[in-house]
Amino acid sequence: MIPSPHTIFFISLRIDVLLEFLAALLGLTISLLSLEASRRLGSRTLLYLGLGFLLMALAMLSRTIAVTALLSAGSLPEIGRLGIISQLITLELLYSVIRISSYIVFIYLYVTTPPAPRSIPALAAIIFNPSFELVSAILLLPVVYRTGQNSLGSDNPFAWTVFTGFALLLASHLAFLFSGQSFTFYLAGHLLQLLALSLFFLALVLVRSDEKRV
Amino acid sequence: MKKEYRSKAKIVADIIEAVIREGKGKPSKIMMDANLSYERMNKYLGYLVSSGLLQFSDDEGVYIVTDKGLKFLDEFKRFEKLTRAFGLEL
Repeated sequence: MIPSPHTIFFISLRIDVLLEFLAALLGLTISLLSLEASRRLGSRTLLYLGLGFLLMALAMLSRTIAVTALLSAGSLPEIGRLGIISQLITLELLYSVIRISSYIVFIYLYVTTPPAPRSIPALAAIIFNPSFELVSAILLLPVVYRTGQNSLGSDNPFAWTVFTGFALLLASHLAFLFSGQSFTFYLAGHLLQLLALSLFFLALVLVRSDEKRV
Repeated sequence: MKKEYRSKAKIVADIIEAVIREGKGKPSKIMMDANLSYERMNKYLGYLVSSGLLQFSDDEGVYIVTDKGLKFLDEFKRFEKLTRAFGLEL
């Protein structure tokens, strides 16, 4: 039996919620470990790094809540759905502001430290704001450039992980930018975002489990 | 020549490393190894002793690294690797 487009849409939405939720959890873990280390070591770099990941994770969590609300609104009468959609638009704006703030924190850190139930495109237009995705991608460019330079000129074994992470994050915003054209871009964006956060998390785990001791 | 920027955490780590290298750190040797002025070194040594990272031996007039100090340095080294992977100094 071939599932209806409506069924495929709901299954895919649940996957996107799960992927974004996992990415948010990774971001939150990275942020908490960095902030805790920042407190113990008195490091400003770790403080801003932790703050950037915290904002990124909070933005992802807010969108997870928004999409979950939309899923549960499927059984509500039309007037209830309209209310949910206006709340979603507000949440999307909140998401954009928080996520862009996280990239502004990263840029500040790098600058100041030496060196739809009806149709998918319609829903995507509510959940994703192309202007935000473009602004995010542009804001991430200097960060990708800096980490790329660092990975080429450094013998630090974790530099490539961080560079690949930021490059994948940039790629995820570009994929979300085209999510209105095809649902493949939408899912690819979530996968890339999860991969990026997984790489940041991997770098943190590798560093923490590094056996080299003083 | 451009002066190298060192964060407070880096200076603390440098002092602990200097004391470890000597086994028991004499203030004059720490000052040279950690590349600090006398006033700054005294300020930092006071901070390190009060936060339990170093211990001062009155008998010998030397500083000794505590377990807490070793833990700090170990954690600093690992997170320094992480921030360097981001192209940043800790």
